[in-house]
Amino acid sequence: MSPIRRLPAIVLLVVLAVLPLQAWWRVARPEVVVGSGTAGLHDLVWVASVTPDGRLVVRLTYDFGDEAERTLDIRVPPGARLLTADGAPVAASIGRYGTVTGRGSITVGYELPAAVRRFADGALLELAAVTDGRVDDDRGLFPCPRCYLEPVGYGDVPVHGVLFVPDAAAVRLATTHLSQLQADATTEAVRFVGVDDGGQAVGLLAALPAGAVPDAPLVDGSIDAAFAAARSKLRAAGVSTETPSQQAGTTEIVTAVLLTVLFAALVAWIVARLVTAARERQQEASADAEPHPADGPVPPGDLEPALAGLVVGASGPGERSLVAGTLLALAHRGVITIEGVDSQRFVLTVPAGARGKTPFEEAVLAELRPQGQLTATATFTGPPLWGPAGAKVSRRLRRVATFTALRQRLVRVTLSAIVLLPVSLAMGVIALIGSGGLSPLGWFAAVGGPLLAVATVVLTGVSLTGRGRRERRRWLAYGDWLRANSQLADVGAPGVAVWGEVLPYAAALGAAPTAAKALSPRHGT
Amino acid sequence: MRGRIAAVLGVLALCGCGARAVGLPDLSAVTAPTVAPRSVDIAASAQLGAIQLRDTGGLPPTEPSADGSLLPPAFDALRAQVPPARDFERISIYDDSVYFTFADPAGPGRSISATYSASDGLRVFDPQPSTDDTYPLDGVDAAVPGRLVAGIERRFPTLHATDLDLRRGLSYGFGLVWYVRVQDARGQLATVFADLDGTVVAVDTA
Repeated sequence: MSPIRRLPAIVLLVVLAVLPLQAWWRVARPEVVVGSGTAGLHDLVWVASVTPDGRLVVRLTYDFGDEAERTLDIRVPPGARLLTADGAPVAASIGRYGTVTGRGSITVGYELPAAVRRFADGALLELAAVTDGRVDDDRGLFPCPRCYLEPVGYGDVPVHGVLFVPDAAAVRLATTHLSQLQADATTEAVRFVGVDDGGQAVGLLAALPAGAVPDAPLVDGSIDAAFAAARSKLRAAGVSTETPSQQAGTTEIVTAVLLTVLFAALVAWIVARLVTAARERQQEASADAEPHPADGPVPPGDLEPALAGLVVGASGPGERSLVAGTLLALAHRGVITIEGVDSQRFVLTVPAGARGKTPFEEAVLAELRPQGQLTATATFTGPPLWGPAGAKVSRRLRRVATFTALRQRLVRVTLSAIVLLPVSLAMGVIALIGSGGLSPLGWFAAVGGPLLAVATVVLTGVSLTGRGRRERRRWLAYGDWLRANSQLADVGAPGVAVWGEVLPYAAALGAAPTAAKALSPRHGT
Repeated sequence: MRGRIAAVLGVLALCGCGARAVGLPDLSAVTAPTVAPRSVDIAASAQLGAIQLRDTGGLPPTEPSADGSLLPPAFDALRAQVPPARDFERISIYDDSVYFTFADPAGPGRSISATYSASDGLRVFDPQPSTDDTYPLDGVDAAVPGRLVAGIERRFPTLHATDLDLRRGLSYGFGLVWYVRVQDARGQLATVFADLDGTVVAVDTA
């Protein structure tokens, strides 16, 4: 039996381990995901500075994401002045409503005086006003982009914002119509990001520190009360406000938990299977050391020589070959002929139409037939029999023998595909769904994971079943008896005419090394 | 079997299409917007660049320019004749006259109009009912209208600033600004809004 390889399983686990790690990373640092972007409006960037006297200087960029020409109807809050588009002054009806055309992007600039109300304990920047019980979309960060930009599709738009203000770390933000809002601050600026679902007008409330606008007129009241009142007024108008959150949503947490549970279960199962397989091999090795009494020259069962040799493996001394045992069995039954030229050399003939009675016999005959043609006769003089391609033939036939043994339940795969394939696929799909399709590794695991799992199954190797262990004991004993009680060590391949069915088993079990070597593809040259 | 696999892969692919992750803006790539420089010379005001000239065949405007130099003597005459006048509804300057409307100091809900011309001096009319918004003269620099007319016409020699108005109703969201009509040979071309200190803050070409 070939050894159990642990490396393929380790590689699979290392690849899959990244999925739960990545998922927990997303829990710790949640991403802002734009689910369905807007064709024609890739991004909105709002940058503003607060001056000491309470003015707001604004620069709003509409990034189209392509080079198509677009027309923007500019609408700025009442009182906005010095309106520019891409740095050039533009005319606007009553200073508020203009039209501009551009490619790639358009940047609207303006100043808004008296944008900040100063209280004794802070200042309020209010870019989300309610007029006559309704939210005034023109007084926000920007009016509905889908309404005033064309051509543009329907979808969500990411909004990036930066507000330059002294002592920005003390600023509190609330927005309208921005989901997944995240923000942080340095000493000089607050930055935020969110998703404008459906491309609506977005508003902003910012509670600034007391020293942000020292030259603005002082009004009565307090910043906390004003901030709360502004949010309350918006709520009464049917619009909720969002505050920045650094916490992951339910989806991220559930994804991370599911991936961790699946991965832990997979690790536990793989470790258990590998440990069990290693223990069984150890027990087999211990059993090999004990004497095995055999009944005599009659083969103890009806396994073909190749399978008898496969379950015994390399136990015991002597060169052996599953292929040699099979060829000798075919010769014994008269399917092929092996005629001696002398005591060592032989002529092996595969007649046209020769068929084996097992899949392995058929596979061996197919390797010998010229271009695999059933109707052709092939004649070889050996040893050697196989030529320079013998090593490849040996590997191919070894796989056939293993599959045959699997079908006959003499061996089983150490790591079952029934577990590895669905688990690796499930982990990939869960990672994809949890990341909104953004995880490249999730894609790899979903598509390549099952392939990696199949490779792991094949490369890890097989272990004997209970039936396989019983057969092994019997054929091990038979091989020992043949070595001790027959003089087959020096018998060549033509000896099958004399020794009959004993020689094929002897060649497969290591009791007829000369015959095995003469017919083995491992000794092709 | 192959069809089912293709369908699953297709669904997986569609799940990935259109979705993208975005992060906080990179502060190193962002510059803070700054207040636009205020030009002392009105002719050099950046916002006047929004005026787009029309082809007038080289012909001059038919309407004469407003005479901003009339305002200071008009104020003097008004103070001399109506000292209590404090809250104004309107100050309009034309080529040969200035028109005032101010709240009647003798009673609320009434306004008084007056005109001034170099030839006829100040004429004050009877009070009329009025509920228009008013403004005090604090911060109204009498020299600004003349500077606005001179500055606009120096920047655009083919244009005339034909009349200026200072009214709440014509200030829109700007609070209180000078409303300056600008004409070329074809007629009305633009309206210029200017702060009380003469800073041009907006241009309307509607």
